[in-house]
Amino acid sequence: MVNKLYEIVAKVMNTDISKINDMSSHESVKGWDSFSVYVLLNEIETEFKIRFTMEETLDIKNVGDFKRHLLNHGIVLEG
Amino acid sequence: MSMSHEEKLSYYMSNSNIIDINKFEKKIKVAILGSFTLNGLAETLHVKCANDQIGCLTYVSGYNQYNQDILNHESKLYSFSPDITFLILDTRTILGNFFYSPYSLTVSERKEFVGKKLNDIVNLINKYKERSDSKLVITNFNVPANSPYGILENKIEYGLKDMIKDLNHRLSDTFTNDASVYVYDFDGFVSKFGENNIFDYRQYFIGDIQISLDYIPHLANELMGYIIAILGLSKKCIVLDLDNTLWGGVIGEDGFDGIKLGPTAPGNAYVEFQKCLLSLSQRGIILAINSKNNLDDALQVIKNHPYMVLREENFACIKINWDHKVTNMKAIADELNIGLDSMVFIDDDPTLREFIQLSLPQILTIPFPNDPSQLVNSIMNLNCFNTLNVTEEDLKRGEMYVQQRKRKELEETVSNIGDFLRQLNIRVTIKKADKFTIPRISQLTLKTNQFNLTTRRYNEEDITKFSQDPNMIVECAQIEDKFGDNGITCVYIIKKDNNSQWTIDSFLMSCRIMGREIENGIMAYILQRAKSKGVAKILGEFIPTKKNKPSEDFLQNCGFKKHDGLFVYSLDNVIEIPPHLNIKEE
Repeated sequence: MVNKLYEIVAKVMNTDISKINDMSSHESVKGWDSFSVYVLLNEIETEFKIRFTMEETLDIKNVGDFKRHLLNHGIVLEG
Repeated sequence: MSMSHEEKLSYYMSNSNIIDINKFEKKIKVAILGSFTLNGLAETLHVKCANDQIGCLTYVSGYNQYNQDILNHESKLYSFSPDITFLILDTRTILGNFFYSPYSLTVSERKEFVGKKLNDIVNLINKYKERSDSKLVITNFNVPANSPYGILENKIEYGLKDMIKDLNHRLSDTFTNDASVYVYDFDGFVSKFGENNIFDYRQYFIGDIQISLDYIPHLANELMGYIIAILGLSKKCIVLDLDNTLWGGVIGEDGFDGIKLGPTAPGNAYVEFQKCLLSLSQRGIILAINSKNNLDDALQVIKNHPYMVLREENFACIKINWDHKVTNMKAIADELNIGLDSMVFIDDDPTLREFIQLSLPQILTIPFPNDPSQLVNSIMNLNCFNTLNVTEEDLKRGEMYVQQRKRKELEETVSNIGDFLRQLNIRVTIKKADKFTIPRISQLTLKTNQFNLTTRRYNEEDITKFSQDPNMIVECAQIEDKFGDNGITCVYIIKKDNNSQWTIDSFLMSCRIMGREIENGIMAYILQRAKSKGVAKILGEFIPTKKNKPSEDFLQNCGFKKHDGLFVYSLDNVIEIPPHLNIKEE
């Protein structure tokens, strides 16, 4: 399941999946900017059929944050 | 469902990176100016253009910088020099605080406010027009579904919704007769997909995104209609199958009384589909039939079925036989004298559609819905029929093809071509470029491919400029004969280099009047006129394209001599107009 998340991030950010980990953010991923994060958010919401709140959205700074907030919506990616 | 199938924005964002626009012959420069975040729209247009073999270059103005971009002569917008500019504004930005508090103003203040907003927009557009040759498309304003007065909205004089509707109405009126400004019905776009889907408060608050990301591709689809029209890539003809397409069932098996076509479901879906096709034909799209059937069985339905909407006279070409449909498609293109790339094919048989797509890839094959109730949707959502204007010729096109069929019949009954031409009684009327003819002249330069010496494409602004230049001649010819009026079907543009030499910049003719020596007559008329003005020689040019082979030998046939890559005609002999033509100036 965690692979699915990395896959989406890699696709939206136009980069190789091997370069994606929980710490991936605008600092390490070239295509990561304020707009591509909205696109990413939109893709993740569609894939996992959930909707983040505005607060959650504002809190997301890296891939790990997505994971953490997916958990709030009952989406367990690991374990 | 066919209507809503669209890729997500991420698909376009990643694919736009891998497009090489250099591989496309046709190019367009698009500027996007917006009052809110419109990221992703340019990328989507790149991909959609590439799918239509168009290389798209874009300029996107900075966030909410549309005013500065237009007002500053030195902005990147002007140095980009777009062919088309989309000015996308939103209701909230325009109304400002009054979006929520319109009723802090009195009725007359509200009216004044709307008048002022309209003025601001119109002034901005006029400034842009002064400095740019770009077509401009401005979106109108979404009328919000909710208002503070709720169900009382209609009891309030000039309420919030009235204000926006009034603004839209006046915006549209201002530019009705302006050939360079188009108002796109964005409010209609929002009502098609729903305000709750298009406008997402979370995206609005976090990034001033006022069109949800999933709908950016749908908006791009709509805007593609303008791009296709500007480049003259609009489709001209819909070729239709009959069984399970224009009616339900198979006439050869189910019989006249057994096919599904009538006032109740499922027959009403086909009736409505036919009505929709008729509406397209009434705005100038040609209809044709390509069906495997016994001709008599099928014609019996077309002529006599009480619920048939489309009759024989609505079809410019009818191919009902047992030939292969590929053969028929080519024959239809030949008979109508139009390119395969201006045809759309609608047929319920998926295997056949695929076969046509493989063997004649220029033809646009429409995905056929599994459910006939979706037929109307599938055709109403096509953006390929858009043109920048509808001329009188467009509206009469169907009629003209029926006349054409009658000419063919005459041609088959007379024994030689000379007799045929004489019996046609052809009258050619030469007309100057003026406000009535300029739209058609531009349209012909944009659309004519086969009989076109130089294929120079000119928009209405270009033609207007040329017509005001004393050193240029811009004229067109209307062709009539005993079967009817072909309308304006020939255009020529001449540059007077000096007193003794003229150059033919453009000479083109709609292919539907080819084969009647009209082109020779008009050229002879031009030569005679030049001679009477004391001109010594006329230069002509042939610029070969993939499609203009039919005009390759024309200049030589008219007596021009090849010289240094140009064609030269020395006006030292007697020039005669073919005797079967009656040419006069208006």
